[in-house]
This record gives sequence, structure tokens and C-alpha cells, in this order.
Amino acid sequence: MNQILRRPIWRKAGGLAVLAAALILGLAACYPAGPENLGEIGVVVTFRNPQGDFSNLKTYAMEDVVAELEKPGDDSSEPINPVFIPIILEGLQSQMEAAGFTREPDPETNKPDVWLSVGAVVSEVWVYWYDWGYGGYPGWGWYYPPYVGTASFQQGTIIWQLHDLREVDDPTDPEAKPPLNWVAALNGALRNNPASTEADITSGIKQAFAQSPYVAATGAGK
Amino acid sequence: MKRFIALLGLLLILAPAGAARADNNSFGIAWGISVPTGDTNDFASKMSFRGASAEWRNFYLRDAAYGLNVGWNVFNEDDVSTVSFANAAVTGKRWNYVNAVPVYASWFKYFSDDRRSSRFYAGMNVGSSWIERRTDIGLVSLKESNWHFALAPEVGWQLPWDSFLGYVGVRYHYAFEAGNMDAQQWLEFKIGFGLD
Repeated sequence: MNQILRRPIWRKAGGLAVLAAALILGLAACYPAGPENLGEIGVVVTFRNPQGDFSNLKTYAMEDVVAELEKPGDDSSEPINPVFIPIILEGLQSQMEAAGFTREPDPETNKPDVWLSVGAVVSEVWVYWYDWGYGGYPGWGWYYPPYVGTASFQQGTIIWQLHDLREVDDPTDPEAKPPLNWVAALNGALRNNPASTEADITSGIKQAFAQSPYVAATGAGK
Repeated sequence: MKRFIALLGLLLILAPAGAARADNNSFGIAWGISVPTGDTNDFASKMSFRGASAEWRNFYLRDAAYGLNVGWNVFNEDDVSTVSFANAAVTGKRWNYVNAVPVYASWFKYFSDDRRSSRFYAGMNVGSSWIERRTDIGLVSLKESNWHFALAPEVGWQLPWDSFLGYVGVRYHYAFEAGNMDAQQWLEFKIGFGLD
């Protein structure tokens, strides 16, 4: 009697298989995505020297240059686009002043408390991924998993560091090794639109100072 | 992960025909909606609509069944945050993912022996859960995966054979600590087809 009431087994199995296929394809299609644009993969990293003395700092100095850095063994390394250099320098100067520092206009005569130096490099980043094969696109043909996709973009890195000059007699001496108190870096993709990259640089520099509240001049109240 | 989806899909598509051969056997598939709790919630707190499970039950008695089931649950969360260490800090957009594949042997007690009527059931799933936790930030990806001993008590309601839905249930997954990963937990609501 029980058998008579049941649906034909082939119908049940077939229906479940169709449902299963739909469920799995649906779930795979809505698998959570990662970065959706290049601006999302930028990071701001800061390091503090645990032996560094951040007390009683007032003045700073810097050269109005961004040094060209090289990544050893990477032929794709190249200098950053000069259009970004004033943005970097203005961003750093603005944040140093916001942190209460006063720029020493004549560092050769009047030794500043700290020296800020900055460098930048651009390099190519290749990304590889495995993906499902899709058919039907002209010229793509059919591939069944996995097929390997590749893409590349330009990644920019800006690094700056703060040296404590107070214990150094002659900061112009190339043998002098003033203590390194703080290192900060921005790393992110250079976007097609330079204005977007400029905005990323400005906000990245601001963030580096924000996450390093110990970088502050005496009385800055930061 | 997509390779795993392909395998699970194949299993789900092929299994019904095989499992439906004998009258005591029953096969079901379910969509799983999950709420992370405990350490899983700390890592990826969003409610997940990405879950599925397939199960086979053998009714060795009219009101009791043993079986097997395999599932897949995905949790994710993203935000822009600053992670601070002793003398360093990193800011960036962070994506956290949890991928869990529980594989259980199960036993269920049914509170009626009439397979043509709605029946409540309660039981226990015992097995292992493969869990991967991944954090992507910038161009860096950090991940860890482990097999955890896992339990999942479950209660549910099996609907009559001629209803559109097969069964609804709720189970609490508890995957014990393994490797460097704390215990992972989530509550899953199952909306199932089949199991008649």
C-alpha cells in the first residue's frame, strides 16, 4: 500500500538531481567576491622603533625630492610618475605640520630634531587565477576547468622614514647613522585615472599618521 | 574551492538515483541559511545564505534512521580596518572568509512511524568538518585550514511525501578546536527537498 502512494522513483530522483544542480550552480554563482576595483587593495603599513624616543620633538626637515627606489631583481621596477611627486611631498608636509612639527628652512645651519626622507617605486604585479571555463564567447572556444587567467597592473609603493637627529653631531656626515624612529609605507595599485591615485596617496599618508599617534611634536595635543 | 563545488555538485546530481533504489533509503538536499556564532562570528559575522547539504537516511526502523550527510557553508565579511600590533599597524580593506565542509554520520529518532504524515524528528550528526579561514588584505592572503572533530544536534520536521518541500530542520554545528583554530560554530536552518 505504501508503494502505491509513492511517486515513481525515477521522477523523484530526476527532480532532486535538477534541484541539486540548480542549488549548486546558484551557490557557486553567488560565492562572495573579493576586491572589485584596484583601489580596494591598497594598504598602509607603519612600524615604530620600540627604542625610538618620540618625546620633545619640535622641528623637522626634508628634501623636496622623492628618491627612486629599486626592487632588487625586478626588471619591471620603474620610477613613479613625476606628476605624483608634489602630491607626496605636500601630503607629508601637511601631515607633519598637523602633527605639530615646524619645518626648519635652513637645516644645514639649524639642526632639526628629525629628518624625513621619502622614496617610491612602481612595479608590475601579475595575478594568476583558476576559473571555470565558459563556452560560447567568440574566439575563446571551450575549456573545462581549470583554465588559467592572467592579468597585470602597476603597483606603487611609497616609503618614508623619520630619523632622530638629536644625538647626531653632524647630520651632513654620510657616515652618521641617526636612529630610525618610524617607517611608513603605502602600497597600492596605480589606477588609470591619476586623480584617483592622487586621492589614494593623500588619504594614505593621512592614514599613516592617524595610525601612528606617537609621531607628534611636543605640545601638539595629538 | 570551485573544484570542491564541482565535486559536491556531481555528488548531489548522481546520488539521488542511486540512493532511491531501496524503499528504506531516502535522499534529500537542502539549502542552508546559517548564523555564525562564537569565534566564527568574531571572524565573519554576516548571516550566510550560501549553504547546501545532501543527505541519505536509511530507515532501519519505521521511526528511526541512520545516515550520512555532507554540506557546505560559506561565511564572509569585509571592512576597512586597522590591525595594530605591538610596534606596527596595517590599514586596508580586509576580506574574511570561512569555508566549512561538514561530513557527518547521523542518527535520527522520528516521533511518528507513519511515513505518509508530517513527522518531527530529532537526532545527532557526528563526524568531521573541514574548515578554511582566509583573510585577504592588499595583495596578501593568509589562510589556515583544518579538519575538526564536529557535532551537530538537529531537530526538524519531515513533511508528507506529496508536499512541495521535503523537510525543514535546524542544526547547531560545533567543530572542536583544531590546529591554531578555535572551535567554530554556527546555527543552520535547512530547507530541504526529498527525504520522503
